[in-house]
Amino acid sequence: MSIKEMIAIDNLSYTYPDGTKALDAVSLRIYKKECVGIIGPNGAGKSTLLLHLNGILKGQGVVKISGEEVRDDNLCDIRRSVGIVFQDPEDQLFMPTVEDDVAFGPINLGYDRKEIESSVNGALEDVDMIKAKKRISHHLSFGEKKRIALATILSMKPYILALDEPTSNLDPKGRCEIMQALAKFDKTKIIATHDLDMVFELCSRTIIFDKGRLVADGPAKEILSDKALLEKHNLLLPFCLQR
Amino acid sequence: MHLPEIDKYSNLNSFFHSWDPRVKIISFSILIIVIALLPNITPAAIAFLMASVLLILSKIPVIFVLKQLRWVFFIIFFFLIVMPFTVPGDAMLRLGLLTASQKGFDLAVLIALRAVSMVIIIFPMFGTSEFHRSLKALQKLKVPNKIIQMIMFAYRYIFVFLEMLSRMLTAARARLFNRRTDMFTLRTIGNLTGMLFVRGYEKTERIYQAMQSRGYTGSLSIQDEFRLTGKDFAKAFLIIGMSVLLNITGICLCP
Repeated sequence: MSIKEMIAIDNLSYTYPDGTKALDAVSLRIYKKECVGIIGPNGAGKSTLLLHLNGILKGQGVVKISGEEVRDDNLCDIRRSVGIVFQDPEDQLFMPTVEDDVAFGPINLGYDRKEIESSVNGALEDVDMIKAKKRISHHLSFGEKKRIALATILSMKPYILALDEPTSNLDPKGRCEIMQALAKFDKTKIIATHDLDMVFELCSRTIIFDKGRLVADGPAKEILSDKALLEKHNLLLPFCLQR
Repeated sequence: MHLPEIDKYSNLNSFFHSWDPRVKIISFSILIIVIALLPNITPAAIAFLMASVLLILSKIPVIFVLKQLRWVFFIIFFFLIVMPFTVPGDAMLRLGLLTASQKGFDLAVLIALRAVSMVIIIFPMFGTSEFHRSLKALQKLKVPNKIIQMIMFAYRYIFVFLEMLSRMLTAARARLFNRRTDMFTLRTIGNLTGMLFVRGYEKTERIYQAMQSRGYTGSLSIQDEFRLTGKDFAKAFLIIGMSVLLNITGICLCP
């Protein structure tokens, strides 16, 4: 194993209880500080793959994080290492206040009071939302909720950020703010999205999924410029390349 | 869709707002229990006056409280109508074949006074602290963690589900749906309700996954942020003192 290998997936398959095959013999490697965009049509298995990274879903095959296989007995360590930001921030913000939500992970990790305070403040500053610390979660705007959802993960100081549609339903300013926040994190990032312009701008590598299979993997600019490949998998060129 | 929030006026500044929520909940709970046990109308009327004074002291607008009390009034009205005609006793009024008894009427008034007083006290009790602080106080008071989680999630997500229902109703109206008294309306409302349950179930799955991702293993830990002062105990002494006096009045006036 290379020292830089952060995620190693071998022959991962997953079928939902209703019989839908979401992942079909997926194998891939993601290296330290890489920013990888995972794209594909709806139902391609992008979100399902992310849920395997910290053991929320368990399919057939092997998933290793920093060389450690994801098992029931090391889930706490794995979840500390891999932070998943869900598509709908309403799913992620379940505590009454922003502060409680951002502190939820650190408390579960057994941090002491000072560590909790500093990780909450640090995470909120990272997403430029420190002023919202005492606010009630359900009073936030959608864009604010997206940024706080990111902070809830950052407070656990993960090495790997897995983001599911981080820019969906955001206005242009909100999208820009999220992208700026993501760009400044010096971590391994995996972004499952339909926002190909964001992938073009942020990611060094792109993987295409279709019908649960990994169908293309390569440098972002190369993959995103391949019109025929994108169209074959119900995708289009990013707007920035359509002119 | 609007949903009243009990802590809407928790940002005001009153005698109760600055009170430690733990001591406040214990003190008012004692008062509520005493009111629930009052044996006759006179002490119940005193309790109603007491509750009204406490409400005024809390600075929560009376109009807001009255609006929230409308369902309580509806149930009490039902009691006031039914009980005089169903509890046997000396006749107070005759309406054709029906006879209203004085005992039934007195009992209905007693229940009404006690119920309204207790519900009014809920407002200075929970309406003068932010709801999440009250929950933290309940947790500190060793209320079972599962109950705290149920209340917290219900309070957090009721707004989300009402918005979901509102969007579904808007989508139905956009396709010319009008509520009428017919099978189609009933079927549509049934389908909307069913869909709300399905979506609710899916949402709970995702929330649970998000919680697991952040190390949740079944119990919820909340940061402690309370500091007790002498003033908190003085206020508790006052409310518990009022409860004792009310109880003595109830015992003395008991026939």
